Amino acid sequence: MASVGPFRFSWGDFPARRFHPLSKLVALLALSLASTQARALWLPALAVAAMATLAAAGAFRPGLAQGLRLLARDARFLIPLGLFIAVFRVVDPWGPHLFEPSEFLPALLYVARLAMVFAFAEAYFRSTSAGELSAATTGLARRLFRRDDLDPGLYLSLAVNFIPRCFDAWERAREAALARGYGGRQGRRPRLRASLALLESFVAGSIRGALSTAEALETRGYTPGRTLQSLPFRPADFVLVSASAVAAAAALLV
Amino acid sequence: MAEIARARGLVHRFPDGVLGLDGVDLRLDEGDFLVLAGRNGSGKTLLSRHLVGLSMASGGEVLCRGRPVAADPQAARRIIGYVFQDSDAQIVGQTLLEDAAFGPANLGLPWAEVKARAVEALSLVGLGSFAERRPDSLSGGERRRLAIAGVLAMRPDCVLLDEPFANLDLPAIRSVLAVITAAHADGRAIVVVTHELEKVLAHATRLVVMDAGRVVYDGAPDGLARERYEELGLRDPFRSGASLEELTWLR
Repeated sequence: MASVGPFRFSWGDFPARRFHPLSKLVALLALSLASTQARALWLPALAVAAMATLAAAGAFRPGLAQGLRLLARDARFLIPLGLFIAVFRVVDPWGPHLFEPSEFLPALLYVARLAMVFAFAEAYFRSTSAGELSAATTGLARRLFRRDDLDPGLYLSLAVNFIPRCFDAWERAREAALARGYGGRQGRRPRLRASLALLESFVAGSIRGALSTAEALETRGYTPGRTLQSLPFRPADFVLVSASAVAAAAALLV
Repeated sequence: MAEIARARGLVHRFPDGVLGLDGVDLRLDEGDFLVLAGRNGSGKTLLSRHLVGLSMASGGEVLCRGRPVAADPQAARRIIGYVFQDSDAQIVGQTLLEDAAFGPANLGLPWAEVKARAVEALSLVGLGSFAERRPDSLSGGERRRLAIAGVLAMRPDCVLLDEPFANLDLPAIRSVLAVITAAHADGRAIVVVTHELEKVLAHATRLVVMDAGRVVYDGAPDGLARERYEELGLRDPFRSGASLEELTWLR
């Protein structure tokens, strides 16, 4: 099974693991908002906060250099994104000048803001399992609506499980097609037909996977009133939520 | 021995009219280690799906602890734990512990009990030290054992395994077989659906062979006439002259 889900959770006694998934989620949202909206003078402080959050999530447990290398590898997508933003802002065919070098620094700052959002999100996914978030979400929904048969968290768990299975189904369909000559020198029409057949095989494989999962839930006695993992909301969680809200408010208002 | 499940005149007709099961009668008792064999398409997987209420009968019925499975399939699934051939399809947790805990959590037990059962089941299948690992980091054999742990955590009276040795190498087959025999020694009835008799027959107390949707043999594991194996689409496990005990893959 391919490992393509967003959750990079791995067991470890990291400080960030001890917080409730929802308090971490609030902190992630607040700090991401601050990273994208705060004035530039706040960015160094937010960058330090991002590094500290990553450290608390165990990102540097293999060593600082190795941890940074792995993070850089995961953040590769920011390079084409950054280049696109830079080109979009610096090159202006409709403006008085084709190139606006003064826009380069704001473009760079924007990429830096995105990098910080990535860092906070990475820390979240490294320190929270989908199961924990699922249990917390269902627990919250049951408390809010005072119903014990609500289970929205399960959809999250299933979605996270389903993503890798879809990739698997796609890979299987593609490899089977390649083994039978797909992708060779063909005309446009045969290629389109072959692509549609590949798509059909992928959709059928995904539906089969979904049905198997549904049957597995049935045989394992699934009920919406299932017992949830106990995740206490501790005083430290209130502190985290309050501190991140204050930091976000300060970054936005000051 | 007390009866766990029974199929009475079970008929399954597919929408295109093809008969998948043709009046199957089968009784499953406590203490049984039943090997359900037969060629591809003989109806063995279909019969096992009926035992846990995953398929609807066209005729006849399946009873689990005396109650019709069709009336309360959930109750039947608490008594008979079903392990799919495709272990990946059965895995729903993000860590081994979460996955093993899924079944007992559905029984409405307190979380401490759910966790204790999950930890115990993982230990039983030799995955206790991997509790916080992600299922996608496991090998094929380990994933099959995780699927068994998920079922054992529900503490069913019977564990039904569909082709548990498919696509596994020798060490993985041995590890899965060890888990299955340990579950049987622990007092659970076992049903192994397979056409690879030589891998499991030494541990069986009963062999049931199906052909064209019917039970054509139900008796001692070494009681089927040797010339009938080929005829029923199976490989004769005794062809090397080994005795039933010598067939074991655990040595």
